[in-house]
Amino acid sequence: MSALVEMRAFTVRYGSTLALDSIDLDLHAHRVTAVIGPAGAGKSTLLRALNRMNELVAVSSREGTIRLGGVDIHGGDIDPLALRRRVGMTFERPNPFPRSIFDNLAWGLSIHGVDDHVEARIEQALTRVGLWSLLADRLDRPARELSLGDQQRLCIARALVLEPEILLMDEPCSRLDPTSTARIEDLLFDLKTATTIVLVPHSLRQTSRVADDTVLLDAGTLIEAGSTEEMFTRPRRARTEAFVTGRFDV
Amino acid sequence: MITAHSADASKTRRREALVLAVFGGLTILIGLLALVLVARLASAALHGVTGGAEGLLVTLPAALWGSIFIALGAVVLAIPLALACAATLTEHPRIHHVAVPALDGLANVPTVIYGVLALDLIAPLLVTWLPGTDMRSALAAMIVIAFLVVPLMTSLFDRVLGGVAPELRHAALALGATPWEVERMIVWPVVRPQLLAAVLLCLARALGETMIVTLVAGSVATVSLDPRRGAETLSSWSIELALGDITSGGPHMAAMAVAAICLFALVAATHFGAETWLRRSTPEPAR
Amino acid sequence: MIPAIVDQPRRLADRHRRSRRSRATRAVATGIASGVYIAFAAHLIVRGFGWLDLDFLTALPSRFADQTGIGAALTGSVMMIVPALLVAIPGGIIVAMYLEELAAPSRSTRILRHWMNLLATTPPVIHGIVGLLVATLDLGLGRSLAAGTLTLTALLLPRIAIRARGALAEVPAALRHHAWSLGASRWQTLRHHVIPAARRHLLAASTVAVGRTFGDAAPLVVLGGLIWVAASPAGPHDPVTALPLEVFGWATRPEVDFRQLAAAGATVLLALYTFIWALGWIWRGDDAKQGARR
Repeated sequence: MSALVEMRAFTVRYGSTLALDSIDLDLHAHRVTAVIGPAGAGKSTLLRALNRMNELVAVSSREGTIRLGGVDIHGGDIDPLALRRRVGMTFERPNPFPRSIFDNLAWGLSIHGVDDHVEARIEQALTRVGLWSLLADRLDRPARELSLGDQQRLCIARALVLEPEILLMDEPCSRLDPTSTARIEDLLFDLKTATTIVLVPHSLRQTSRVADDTVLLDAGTLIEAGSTEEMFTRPRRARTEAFVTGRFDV
Repeated sequence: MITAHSADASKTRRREALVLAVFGGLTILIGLLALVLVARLASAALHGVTGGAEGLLVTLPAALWGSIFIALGAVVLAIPLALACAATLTEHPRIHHVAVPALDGLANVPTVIYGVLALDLIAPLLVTWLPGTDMRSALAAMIVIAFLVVPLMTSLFDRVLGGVAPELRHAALALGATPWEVERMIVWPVVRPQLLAAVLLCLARALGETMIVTLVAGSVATVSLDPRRGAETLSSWSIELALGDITSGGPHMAAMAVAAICLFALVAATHFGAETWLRRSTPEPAR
Repeated sequence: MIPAIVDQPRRLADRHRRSRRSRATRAVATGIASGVYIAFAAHLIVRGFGWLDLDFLTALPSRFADQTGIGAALTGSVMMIVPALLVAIPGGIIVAMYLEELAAPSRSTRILRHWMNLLATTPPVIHGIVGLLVATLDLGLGRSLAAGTLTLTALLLPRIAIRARGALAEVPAALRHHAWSLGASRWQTLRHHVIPAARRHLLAASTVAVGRTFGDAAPLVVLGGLIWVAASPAGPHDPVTALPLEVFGWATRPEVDFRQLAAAGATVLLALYTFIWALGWIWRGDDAKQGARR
């Protein structure tokens, strides 16, 4: 099986600090990949490299290549705006626009010039995150009225409505209560049939619950990558074992 | 033991009460003093309205109109410039530590300097570039007042735009929006009430501007919509009255009091309009 | 069946173009605005340059353009503003401390805050009219140094208060919470933690207000008119002239010589203002560096 994303010798610097150091990594389609590591390991940077958000939010330089479906995402024939439609993203803090639920979902479509089947697309996205039955008759209500958990699911739907091939999720549950967290974790199993998920989980427990594959980073270097089960039961490297058993303070 | 130091604690409490009484008393005293002064002004104005101003008040409607006309014109001219400058600042956060104090400095330049410039530079330029403009025109005053309020408006806008949670911009960028689309379609609508409040604060500043209008607006006490003609404003009218004959309780003094109280009411209404907008705008819910 | 989303290259190119165009427009507008201020300053200096010499800086007012100067105006300005600062800076800072740090949150505190903000926004010409009405006429001080100082104090105090409140508000709330959690009272927190952290900022905040008030012509024109003052005042009841007043007076004259004198006076005023502002910036800059070290 060839990989959906191939990262080769990928390096990111913020000024003189090395955020990602020559990463070689394959991500496979229709799987949930967890990116784990201690604080400052470069997890968010790795995520934001995949939709080229790094170049917008920080002064950074990069080397190496990332191929998505065999095409270099930094190549001349890839437009970053189109790339971000194909690689959706959600954030730690649920961040719906302070507008109606409908507008939140329709805005992405409108900027990308999609004007057919708008209602149907919105219904489909909300159905996939399990909010349609709850929100069908109140799409014109402000999105910020929803509970935090529902806001986060709305943000997922906002990305899904653009039919992304990859969904990047940066600690999607760290601000949520256990019930909402469980709901979003369940959602991941359904979502991966249609898309590929790269997730920064907020705990090791969550990693073992939801991730098919796991990538361990430390200080910008890749320590180990592989199936979650193997990494948690038969880690190949001592540092991996130390981290997954909670003794990672070397 | 918590009770062991109760003597100390009560001393602290006594000192706290004393400081609170002195500082609070002083503040309230200053506030009341200002209120008394405004009341004194109002009583003088009342005297003017009931006949003390001896016919000088015929200028009042034109002056009211001129104040509002020139201030609105100036603010309308300033908005696009200030918005552009503020957007540029938001894009380049690293020039902030230079730009913010520089804007603060520019916003408080003594206005008589702008007055000299208006008279010496802008008015002659307008006469040559825009045939039909009088040497002293409302337009010249508007342009110079616009440049007077641009720094203030820019720093207020910048504070508003900088106060937007970064998550909001990130969310829109991650959907594939251009930075311009993010600002125009997401950020600006969210902060519209605060931007309006900032504009109102600048309007209050423009309404009270005195030196520029006195020197360059001309003192044509007519109600006109043509900015190329001269205009009278409450503040320039006050100056003209002051340069006239002031004797204790004379008609000039009474008319000035009327002008001052009208100007104060205009500025106060604008100011409280701004504060109401700010209060009504829903802040980001705290999490 | 919903058709899959297809990228529209022409639309994308269009959006990029619009983004670039708006960026360019903003940059040009910012450049033009900055250029205008530089042109303003340059114009003043060029127009007034021929008149700027030592005689101009020291001479007493004269009816002849080539003999007049700003000597009396400078001393008059300083004599009016210095007593005003001595009252208004501590007064303004005390008001700011009370309103920002000490007052219990209540309806009356909120009203007091709004009132102080409004006083700081009140056009200075109104201060002049109230000064004329109350200080000059009611209190019988006449058009004197004392009346001018009182008016400038009333003008300066709310301005300093509002800026000092801003400086206090910039102190992170966490600092106060730490102090409170250790059992410090509000006053102890203010004295031991907030004031040391905001000290330079408070000073810097005052400087710009002082510079602006120093150059405010409107209240002095109302208060003093353009009366003939040939010398520096010897006592509080003497008439006085001030730099912004002289500049305004020259600007109202039709002769070219006086217009140029006005530009020269405005240049000096601008230079003094810039100096005061720079003082504030230097103090503030040091503070920022200290903050970074902490």
